[in-house]
Amino acid sequence: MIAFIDSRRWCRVVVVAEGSLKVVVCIKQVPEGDLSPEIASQMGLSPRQDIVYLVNDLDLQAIEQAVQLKESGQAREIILLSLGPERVEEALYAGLAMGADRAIQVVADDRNWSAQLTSSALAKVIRGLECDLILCGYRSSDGGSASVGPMVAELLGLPQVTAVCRLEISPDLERAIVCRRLEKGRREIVECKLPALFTVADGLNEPRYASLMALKRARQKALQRLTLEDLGSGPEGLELSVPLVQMVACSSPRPRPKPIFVPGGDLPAHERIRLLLAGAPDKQGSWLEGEPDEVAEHVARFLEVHGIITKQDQRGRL
Amino acid sequence: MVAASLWTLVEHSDGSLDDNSKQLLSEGHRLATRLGQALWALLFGERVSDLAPELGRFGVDRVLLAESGLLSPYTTEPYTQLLTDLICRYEPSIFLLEATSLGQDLAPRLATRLHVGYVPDCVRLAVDDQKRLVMTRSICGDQAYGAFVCPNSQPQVATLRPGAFLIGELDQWQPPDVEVIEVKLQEGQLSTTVTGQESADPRTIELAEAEVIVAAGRGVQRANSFEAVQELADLLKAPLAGSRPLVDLRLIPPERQVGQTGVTVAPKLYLACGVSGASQHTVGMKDSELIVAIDIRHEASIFGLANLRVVGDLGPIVTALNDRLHRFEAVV
Repeated sequence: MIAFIDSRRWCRVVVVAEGSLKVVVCIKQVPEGDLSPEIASQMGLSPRQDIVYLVNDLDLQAIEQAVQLKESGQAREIILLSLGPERVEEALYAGLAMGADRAIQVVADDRNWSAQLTSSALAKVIRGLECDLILCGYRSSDGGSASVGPMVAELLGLPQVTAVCRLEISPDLERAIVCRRLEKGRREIVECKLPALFTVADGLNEPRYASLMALKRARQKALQRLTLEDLGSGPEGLELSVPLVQMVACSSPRPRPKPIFVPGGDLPAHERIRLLLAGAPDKQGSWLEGEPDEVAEHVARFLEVHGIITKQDQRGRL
Repeated sequence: MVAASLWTLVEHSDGSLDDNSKQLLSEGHRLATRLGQALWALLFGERVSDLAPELGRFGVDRVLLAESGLLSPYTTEPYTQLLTDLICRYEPSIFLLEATSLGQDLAPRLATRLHVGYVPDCVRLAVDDQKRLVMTRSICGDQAYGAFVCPNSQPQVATLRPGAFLIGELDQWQPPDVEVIEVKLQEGQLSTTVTGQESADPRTIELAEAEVIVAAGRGVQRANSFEAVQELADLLKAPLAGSRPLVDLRLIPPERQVGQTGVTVAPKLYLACGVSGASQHTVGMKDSELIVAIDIRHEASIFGLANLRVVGDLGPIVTALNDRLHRFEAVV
């Protein structure tokens, strides 16, 4: 146990349990409203002048998780890591105000960084930190490739679990027990040895609001700036010359593709045209009216026909 | 040198292919035909060999079948190791996966290990004049579409957004060749293990994840039948959503509000109870596959969208329906 005195104005004794996990949280600063100015200009739109940058929502949940681990005594130090231009320091200060201990910023210009480059730069920094746990948001709200986390894990040779919606660390700090989010609301419990990297999905927690005092104090905390030259180029392939993925075009949104109704070829032409114009044959839905019992019977049959419900075997026919 | 091939990793559950995999295979077949390449399917899991012949239906020429307890349920490392070996051995030109929890976990990891380009969550795939694969994906929260190529590396790895591609079965097909792959992995080396599965709890899952949604509108409050509608939702193993008035009344939590100021959903079935169908609400649910509406007024605008329009007193109808549903089981 360490006891230290927070002496600035109130003589308050804060007792912190001595955890031993060193946690790195990778965060990204994203434009509010999600459309980044680089993309807007590539689409031929005039860039907005009043863009507000925020910390990516899921990354806030990652920070919150780390702070909770520290409060529960399992984490010893929380280091925030981000990559981007000058303005990114605001995101880091916001995270420091939530309770992180120090921050590292890789200063890079405004170019549109690919997931590959970002992850190799992050991996390079993390390698020197010797941490036990790395947390990232599952995806960012702007780029949204959901791939930086797994890529960093691979470059560091660490196990990964993505889309984590619950996280516990075993008392011996050797393993993490996490709940991973699958399709259709299903969940999976995964045990993972530490050190490891987890990307957090929505619903992990409710990020706290930093108080004004905390925001002011955050400015006193250490923020280390690294340039790309500091990182050098090395085994992770931080050579900027050969990008593996190139953007060839960028266009305005199109409606989300979805299957459309195609009438059968054996129908007469006028009938097919009518069906196409109607959108789908079923959309001229049928009307039901009458005694509740009869109506309910019809609805139940409709649900059964469409595979929503099925008869229970044992009590089947009454 | 092996002839160029296009690979797909198919996902399955309970011994059958899921729809996303059918879309993946159909799109793979279309591209492979365009490029003059063979379509290969990778089938991993435990006791999945029965599925292999069926894959011919979607134009698969060859199946690489790997069966092992280590491959089911999915964990990152065994899949990455096995696929790295196979890709180095056969050198496919393109590798397509689904942008599911599995694909989004595996593809970036694999692409990084192989040091090849990866484009996630594609909504459109095309082949350009130079026979390059052009992968289009949405960026910035669907506000823009970017088209990408991976000119400097092979295979080009991409994940396909579920629901964005069409399923096309062939009229004439034959079962593909099946090659059984020996799985040489050591369990001891693996650092992650799946220790349990939790099925979805309809009362807590997010609306976007639900296949069936029961929605309550102002009519529910008027008919005093909120409990009955909640019971209906439970019987269908569906979350209960609502329109704005019910959220204002604190009957429905804000994250369960469907519509302009809430969430947008497109489930398989949307059962609207006492929802009149104001455009602020319908904008959030109109793309649902099937819509059943129960309302007391003939002229309720929700009926314009509904496949089944039930006019009548909400309370008795829902109660009668609940009585019947006790004899059924929800298919989820």
